[in-house]
Parts: sequence; C-alpha cells; structure tokens
Amino acid sequence: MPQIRVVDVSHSFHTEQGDFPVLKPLDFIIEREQFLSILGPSGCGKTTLLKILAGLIQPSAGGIQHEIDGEAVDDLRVGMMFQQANLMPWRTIVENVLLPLQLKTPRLHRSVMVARAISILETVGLCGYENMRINEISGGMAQRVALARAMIHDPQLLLLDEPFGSLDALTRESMGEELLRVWQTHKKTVVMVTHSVSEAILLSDRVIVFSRRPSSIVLDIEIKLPRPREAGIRYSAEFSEYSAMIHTSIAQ
Amino acid sequence: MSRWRSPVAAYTALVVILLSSWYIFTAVGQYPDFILPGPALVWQRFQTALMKGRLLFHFLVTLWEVAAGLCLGTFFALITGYLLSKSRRLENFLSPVLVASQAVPIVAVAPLLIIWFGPGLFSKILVCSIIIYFPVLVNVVAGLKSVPTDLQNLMTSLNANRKQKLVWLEIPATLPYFFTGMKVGATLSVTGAVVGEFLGADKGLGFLINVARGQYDTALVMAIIIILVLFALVLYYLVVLIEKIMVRWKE
Repeated sequence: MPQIRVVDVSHSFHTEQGDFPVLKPLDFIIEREQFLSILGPSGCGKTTLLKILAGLIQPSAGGIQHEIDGEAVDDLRVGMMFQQANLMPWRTIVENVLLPLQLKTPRLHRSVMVARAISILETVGLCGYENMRINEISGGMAQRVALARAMIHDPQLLLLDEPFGSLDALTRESMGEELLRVWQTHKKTVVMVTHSVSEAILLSDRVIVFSRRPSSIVLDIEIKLPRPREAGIRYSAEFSEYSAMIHTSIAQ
Repeated sequence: MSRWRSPVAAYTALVVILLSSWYIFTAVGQYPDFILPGPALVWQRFQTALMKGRLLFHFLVTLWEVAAGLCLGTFFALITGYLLSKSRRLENFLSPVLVASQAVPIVAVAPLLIIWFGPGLFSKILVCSIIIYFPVLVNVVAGLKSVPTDLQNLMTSLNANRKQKLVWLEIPATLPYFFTGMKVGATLSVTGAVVGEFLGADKGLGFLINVARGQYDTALVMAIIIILVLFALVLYYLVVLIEKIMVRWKE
C-alpha cells in the first residue's frame, strides 16, 4: 500500500478575466491505508484536489509523489467514485463493474472478469442483479455498482467525490455504512470529498477541513474512534465532540 | 378506433384508399395514358419492364450506387466527425466551410462531378456520398460531444488510451446519434443516386425515368417512382432494424 505525498500543490483556473486561485499551496502526507475525508464549503477546491490526485488535471505548481514501501512509483491503480453513479447505460451491471479489468488487464479471460465482478457485486449486496440494465435500477443500487466498479481492480488509491451526494438522506446513511463495512474488509488508502460531517467522522481516520476559496487547511484532525466501527457510534459522546469541532471549523 | 391500433392495418387501409382514389380519378376523368395512367396500367407496365425489359438491371445499378455511396459517405463522415470533435481549432476552421458547402445545391454540383469523373458509376457514387455526408457528420460530432465528462474522467483515471476510449466509451455513446444521421442519410442517398443518373448516365433507375419520359411512357415513370419510394422506405427501416439490434439499451 502506498503513501501519498502532496507536495506544495497549488492550483489556479485560467479564465479570460485572469487567474482564479483555487488551492493555496497544500503540503501533507496521506498515510497508507488511511481513510481521509475532506470537508469544506462548496466550490472550495475539494474536487480539484481529488482530480489532481487522480491525475486528471496537472496542478499549477507542486506535485504528487507516490511511494510504495519507501520506493517512489510513477502511477497508482486508482479507483474513482463520482457524485453521480456515472455508469455506462449500454452495459449491464456486471459489464459496468468489469470495465476496469478490461482496461487494465485486457488479456484476462472474460469468464474470469465476470466471476470477479460477480463476487465483488456480492460484497456490495447486489447478488443476482448482474444482468440488469442501468435504467432498471435505483439511485442507491447504481451507487453500489459504482462502488463495486471502483474496487474491482484492487486499487491502491480510492478517490470518492461526494459519492453519495445525489442520494436521499436514508439511502445515503445506509450507503455510508455499506462503505464502512467494505472498507474494513478490503483496507485501502481512501480520499473522500464529502459535505456530510457525520459521514466523514463515521468512516475516516482523519478529517481535513478546507477554507473558502482559495483554499487552505483550517483543520486537520485524527478521528480516534475505535475500529471496527458500527453505525451506532454516531450516538456516542466522542462522535458529538468531533462533530462539534468540525462544524465550528467549517463555520469560520 | 380500436381497429386502427395495429399499424399494419392502418397502412393497408391508407394504401387501399390511395389506390382506389387514384383508380376512380382516372376512371372518371378518362385522361390519356401519357398524362395520367391508372394503377392497373402502371402495374402492367411494371410487369413487362421487369420480365421483358431491363428494370431489374437498372434497379441493381442504382442499388449498387446507393450502397457504395452510403459506405463511402459514412466512412468520411465518421473520420472527419472524430477529428472535428477532438480538435477545437479544426472545428472552428472547418465548420463554416462545411455549412457553406451545404448552401450549394447538389443538383448544381452533380454536373461538375460528371464532367470530372465521367458518366460511369463513380460520379453517381460520389453524388450519393456527398449528400449523406453532412447529416451523418453533424450527428456524429453531436454524439461525440455528448459523451459525459465524468465518464471521460473515469476512463482517464483508469489510464485508458485513445483506442480504448474510442472502443469502450465514444463509439457506444455515439451510436444513437449516428443512427439518427443514418436514417436521414439513407433516404437522401436514393435521391442522390437518381439525381446523378438524371444528369448523365446510361444505366440506373434515374436514367430509365429519363428515357421513359422522353417516350411519354408515363406509366413506366410512375412505376419507377413507386419503386424508388419503396426502396427508400426499405433502406430506412433497415437502418431502424440495425439500430434496434445495436442500441438495445435505449429502449
């Protein structure tokens, strides 16, 4: 599992009216198998940082360094989840899930890919749905499929961009618990952007709060709740303390 | 109304109404055959042209021109469509040129193509491909541009190369748009081939119309027009059928 160094990363958007700074220089380390959540006001550059981590955009300055067991590597296997499920409507559920395998290991026999996809669909509770079409399933199910797709190629880094932002409150809570369960069995380095403080505390080892644009870090705390966690931990006193602390820092 | 729910029944009724009003019109009016022949005469003329004349040969010539023109036009539309959607600069440069080219009627360009490429099949194939090029191109560009950004990001985050993006994302996402263009193009292509044949050819249905018209063989002209209509219809529904098979997920 890798360690990720964010080294003096800053970013500005170039527009005709001039440069808009989005991220002030950021410098921090994401430890291996850490579940890191990033919170902050809308439009503060959280998603931009995620895209930089995914290699989708080049930061204006600075860079990302990956290390696996102390050795520098160029690229990581990345799994990504978006605000919308972002599935391909022309593929069935199982075909959507095995897409990363088709791209990463095209030589693998199709039956092996299908078998792997089905087994990961089981872990997200979608056993028996594999041949359904995307337009036949609910939003919550679609996000489970997206989670399965993000995990199937055993990514070294999982990037979640408000993964449950488009779901209703109840589905959202249960999906958070689902993710907690999956992550506790398949430990990975995770960076999640979210708007939900309780989701962040429930899932994370560490929470970073961004300020308004141009963003800098206003809070960087470890969540020392015991693991494995369960949904009931939301009602504990420590949970409320963390929640209060994070809420105050966002309000600043 | 329930009797008209089946489209087959409705179409049969429409055809019967058209044919019978045509028949009554000619029977009452007693027009000379070279002005307006009745359906029976047209049918008779069709049969003799098919059995004793070379109607089938001329039809096959037109069919070949249309098929080749469709393939050629679609091929170039796909390639330019892909390039245009990939390069903003190329698109900005070429868009006005392409739109301007549409302002020139094909009937005006066709004689030039016949002068340059001769009265043979090739000039007809060219006319045909030019006429279908634009609708296919416009739809392919629109399709490629409609590919969701997040899916593109997903592919990039999985280090997909250009070919993988094309095969797994861009082609499937563009197919519905492509078929919309093909439906327009397929019907236009018949017009294209006939226009080409009209202006200079020694075979094909367009040529045959010209000959029949010169001989005041109005029955044959009408028979060929009906054949052309049916031909375009079959082509259209062929595209619809292929679309149904390839784009099942849209339903």
